[in-house]
Amino acid sequence: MAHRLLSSTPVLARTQQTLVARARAAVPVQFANYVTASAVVMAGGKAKKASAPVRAKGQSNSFRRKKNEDEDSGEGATGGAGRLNEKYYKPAVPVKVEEFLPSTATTEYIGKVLGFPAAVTPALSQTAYPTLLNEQFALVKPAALVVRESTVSLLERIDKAMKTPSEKSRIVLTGESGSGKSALLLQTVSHCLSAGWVVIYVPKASTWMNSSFAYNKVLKSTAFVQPTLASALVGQILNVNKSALSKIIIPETVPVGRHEVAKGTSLASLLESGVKGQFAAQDVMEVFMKQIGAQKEIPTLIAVDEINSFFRPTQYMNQEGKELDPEHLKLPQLFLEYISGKSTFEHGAVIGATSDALLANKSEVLEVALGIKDVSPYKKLSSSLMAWAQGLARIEVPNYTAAEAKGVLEYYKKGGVFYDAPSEAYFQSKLITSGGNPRKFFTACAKGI
Amino acid sequence: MLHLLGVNLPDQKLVQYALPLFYGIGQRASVKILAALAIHKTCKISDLSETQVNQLSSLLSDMTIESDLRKEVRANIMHHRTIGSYVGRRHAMGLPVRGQNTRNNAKTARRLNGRWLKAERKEYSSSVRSIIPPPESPFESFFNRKWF
Repeated sequence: MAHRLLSSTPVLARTQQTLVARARAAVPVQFANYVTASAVVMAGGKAKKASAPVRAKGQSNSFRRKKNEDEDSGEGATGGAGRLNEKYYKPAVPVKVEEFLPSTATTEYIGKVLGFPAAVTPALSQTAYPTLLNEQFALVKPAALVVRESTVSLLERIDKAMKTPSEKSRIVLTGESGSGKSALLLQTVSHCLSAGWVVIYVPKASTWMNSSFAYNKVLKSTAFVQPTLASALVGQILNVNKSALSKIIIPETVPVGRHEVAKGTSLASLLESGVKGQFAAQDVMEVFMKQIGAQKEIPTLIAVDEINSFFRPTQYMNQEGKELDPEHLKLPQLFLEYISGKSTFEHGAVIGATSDALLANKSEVLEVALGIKDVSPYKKLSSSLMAWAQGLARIEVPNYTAAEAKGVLEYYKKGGVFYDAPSEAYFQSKLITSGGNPRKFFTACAKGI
Repeated sequence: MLHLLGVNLPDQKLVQYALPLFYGIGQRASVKILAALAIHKTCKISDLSETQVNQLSSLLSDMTIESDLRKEVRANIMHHRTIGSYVGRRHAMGLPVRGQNTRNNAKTARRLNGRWLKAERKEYSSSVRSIIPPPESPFESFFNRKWF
């Protein structure tokens, strides 16, 4: 067998090597673009055991910054404060991929992995990617997604929706955990940004409802407003759609809260006033949505990930200590009106994706409304929440087909996720162990399962 | 460090977990206070605005907590002692009050019962101890120092 330092991939077929040799071959440190975390943790753990810092008696280590471990980071995997040790985690070499443009959303491109266009990446970086996708994008550069059959059919539907009111195109992507709902939503967002739509992308709607933003009661009303959230969202929308919004002019004087916006101001400057003044942000948001919905030149897309958190009680409480529903918070209520069709854009669409990432966000109401789940007729479901979930179209996102998985496998090989030769037998074993589930397919390739 | 009604609340602590530092406020009362004042659950002490701090201090001063609550508990037990009831006698002896067995297993009662009466007795004594400032005053730690 060739010396391991002379080749990054083993000469013998994988199954013929001993376990020790396979492990050593999987972690060729000098040539690693990407090292599996488990291998490095093992190496780091042994070093840490030898030089464990002596802690003073009675001192808890839960919040203490581990300064001692920074010094013996010779074999440690991570430096202090979450930095990756350069010795083990070399920056990923970007793979050359074509751009995902509206022209590439056709059946010829199914199975090809295409990256987000350079024109769209600054807009996408304004909001974080969904959590688990973000982890994958951090490992394999650049952020790229495979064109799937469901991508092509959904984007065809979106293109048809470009000239129709948004209440006619309210879609929810459903599917099993890891099947690619968030990825499909991201592709839709990228497609619409390239096509010049105004896009309002919410990657984690659960953060709106989990009591992580400040909230205040609106006087003489049962509603609550989240000023910091509204202000942040207004800023995001402005940064993502700056060029499109500076072209849209408000046709007449409109009241915004206690002030007025003069006729002829662009929507971009309206949003800027919302960024500067937190307490005006909610009113600015409402006026903005009305104005953008009233015009017909530029279509609008609302893309919400974790949409199931809109259809269950939030973690906020009213003054009596009872949990608030999303309709009692002004910003979620505004979005619910567009999701349910009560308000509409003249030209546009509303797309959501469910997420099983957190059990706490699960919404039985949405599952019953979409027809995913059947419950006993005696079970009491919140009628107010059910009313918001009517008329939603459901698109089931399936697992990979063989062609799609093949394209993804080649991309992973180029990106250094695994080092074995991508033979047909290897591909079939990965496809079978993961069942075609995209997330499981990635872990199967990355961890050599 | 927010100093509120005699208690130091560390800035980096979540408000929900800082309020139980008051004697008389536990987890449930803390959540109720947050709901009443519309403070979100991930709010830290440093994130509270002036108005919210004022609302919080006015709400807390309306509740019986800290020294008021301690006085109330002490008064309740003293009442039993004064009327000469069985409960009062058991508190005075430092034994279980609620009819538990004492043949074995009365350890907690022997350790904890009667401490309210001992404090009471200390307060009314006319010895040198009475000029020592009580625990609630701000100079207590200075006067009670055993080294200089």
